[in-house]
Amino acid sequence: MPNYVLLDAAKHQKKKILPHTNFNHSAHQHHVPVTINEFVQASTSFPVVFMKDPQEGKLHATALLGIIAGKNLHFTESDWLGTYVPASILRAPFELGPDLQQDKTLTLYVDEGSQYLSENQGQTLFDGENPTQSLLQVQKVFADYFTDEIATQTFIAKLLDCNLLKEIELVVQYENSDSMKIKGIYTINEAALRLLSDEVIVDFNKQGYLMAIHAMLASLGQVNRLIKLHNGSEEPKIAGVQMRFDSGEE
Amino acid sequence: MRLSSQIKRIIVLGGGTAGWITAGLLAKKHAAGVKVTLIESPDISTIGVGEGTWPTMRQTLAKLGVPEAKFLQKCHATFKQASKFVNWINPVNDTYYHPFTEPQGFNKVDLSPYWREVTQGECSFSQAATYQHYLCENGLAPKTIANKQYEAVANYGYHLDAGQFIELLREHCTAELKVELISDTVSRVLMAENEDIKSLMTKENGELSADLYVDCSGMRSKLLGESLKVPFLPCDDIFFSDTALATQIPYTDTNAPISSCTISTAQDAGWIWDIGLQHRRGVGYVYSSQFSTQEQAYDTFSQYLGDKCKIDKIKKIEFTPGHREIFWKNNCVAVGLSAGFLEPLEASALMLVETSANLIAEQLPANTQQMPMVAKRFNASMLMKWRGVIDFLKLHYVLSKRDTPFWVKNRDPSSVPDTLKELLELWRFRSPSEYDFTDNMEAFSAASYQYILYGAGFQTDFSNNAYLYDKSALASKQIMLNRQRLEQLKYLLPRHRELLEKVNQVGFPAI
Repeated sequence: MPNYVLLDAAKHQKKKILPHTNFNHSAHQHHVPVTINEFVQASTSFPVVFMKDPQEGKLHATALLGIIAGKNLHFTESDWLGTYVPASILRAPFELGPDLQQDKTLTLYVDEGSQYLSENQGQTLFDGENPTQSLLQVQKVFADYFTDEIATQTFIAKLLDCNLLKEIELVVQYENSDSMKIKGIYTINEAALRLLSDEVIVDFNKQGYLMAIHAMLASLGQVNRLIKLHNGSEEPKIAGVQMRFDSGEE
Repeated sequence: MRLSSQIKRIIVLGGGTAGWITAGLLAKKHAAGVKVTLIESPDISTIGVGEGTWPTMRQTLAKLGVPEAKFLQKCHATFKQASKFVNWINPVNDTYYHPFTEPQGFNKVDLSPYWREVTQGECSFSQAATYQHYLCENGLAPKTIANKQYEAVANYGYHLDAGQFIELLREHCTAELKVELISDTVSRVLMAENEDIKSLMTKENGELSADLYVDCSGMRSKLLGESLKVPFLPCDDIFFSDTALATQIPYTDTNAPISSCTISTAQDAGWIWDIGLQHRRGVGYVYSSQFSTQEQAYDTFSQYLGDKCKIDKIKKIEFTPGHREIFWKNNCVAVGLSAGFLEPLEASALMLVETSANLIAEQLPANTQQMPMVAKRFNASMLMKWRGVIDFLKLHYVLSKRDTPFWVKNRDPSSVPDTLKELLELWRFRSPSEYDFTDNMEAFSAASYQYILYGAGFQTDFSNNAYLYDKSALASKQIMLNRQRLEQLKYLLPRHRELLEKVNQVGFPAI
């Protein structure tokens, strides 16, 4: 079980950080957050969609790594079955969390239960009070990530503003005739996209939004790749996944 | 006069909930071809009760295009997930629920033969069958701020402030749906030779005529009853309540939890409804004047209300339970109290309004020649609906074991409709099934009958056909799935009041 605690020079003085060997910390993540600048690369391997946080309703950019909850189809002990590894997986064992000293500020947390944390080998994090070169690098990664996440949220806000999103329902049909519905997934509404004014399209192009939008649309085809990977596992076989689009109010 | 002419103008008489819902639904669908006018009398006040709805109200409001957040805020509305029956079977410590969510896996397996065994008698039918029982008991909302408007996690209807609701509908129907409002009083109804309504004579606006008149004039039934002389069929041999005392009381604490179900508490000569709105509660005692004097009724009511009771704030409403023999005659159709009223139990009044209004809007005759056929079909459908409501409401009384004269009288076989008697006889040896209710206009589903029957402790003897009940494993699975779902929902769903406050601040997301 992950156990994230505030990164602290005194507490983590002796901790050392190990390089990622495989990504088995992601074995049970069937979706991970991505940022807008990852969309194109992520779309070469995974469906890139928005998912709604069911409690607060905020949309998050997400790469689907598997179909059923708790199973990342891209992870095997020996190999990563994709051409791209999402940055969020590479950020382990660190994560951003609330700074308890300062309101509305984020700071670094570390997963004390992580396999990438050791007392014996690896790169140290602190030299006395000061961060080491390795930690500075981690801090840089997170500073960039923070900027990218804000850019992603701005992008989502723009899409909402332009009514460019629609909900899709994935209906997973198993060969044994069971079925399962996956809700809370959103993607670009192509019909609405075609109706955008020239002005907005040019602006979207300049912002890099157009590329991200097309990457998302193209990435939906990766659902078929997920089915293929899934059917290679021991889980009940999937006959197909149907995508249903929300038809609106009535 | 032409023999057949297109329906081009409709007059709705009466600006209560029934009038505005009907005018709105008619205008929504037909505004391009039909002029809808509503005549609302400044001299006649609305009845001001009818504060509970079915989940159908979500579709109705969505159809009318009313934003849910606006509706909730303006009508101080809350989410209704069930009816809770307190002391209906025995006079103390007795509770059961009729939740709006169907039993888990209802279309896969009927839980009623299995739940007692599977849960080893540790929980009630509604607890075993749906997480909604727990949601109600613990004041959780049926959805989150992440859901779109009208989208549910657990099925829900509303509790609403009837007066505010009418204002919202009036504003919406006139501003958005092109319903013409004439504020005037009808002084006389002029009849044509063929017994059609020819026109309505108003005090200020002279003579107004239409191709179809919708009577939403309330209990007086000014058009269908008074003018077209359609007889009223009383059901006072089935239902004995005929008086309601209604009042509004504030919350003692502005942070007090808001109930997410209508609480209905049985009394010696009737029952008390208790409905939680955002800013106040609406409480009423519906009783039988045959079995209680007015003084006794006030006593019972004030005992329930405690020190919050202010006698001068209590409104008294008298009624005869029953309905018109038919609801559509010639060029006049009645919707709402003008069509009939049984009693407030299970909030069937607004549901009947919605059903009637939808049916009229969907089946509006193409021309006057078609009207008799549409009327005939409408009457058949609505009579079926009323019969279903009568049976279902009566079921609540029949199952009681209370022994005061009111309740004893309610169980008297002579007061039980034959249709209900037959069903009860059948259910001695099998549970209510969808095949018992094959008419698609049936008011209540088999699921509702099961919640009432087994909630009330009715015993069906399944042993006669034990061979039929070999789905114990599947039933266990559903009961387990329901428990799992409940665990997720406990974490997911906010408190009822908390969600309402949030909706008032930020509304629901567009997608």
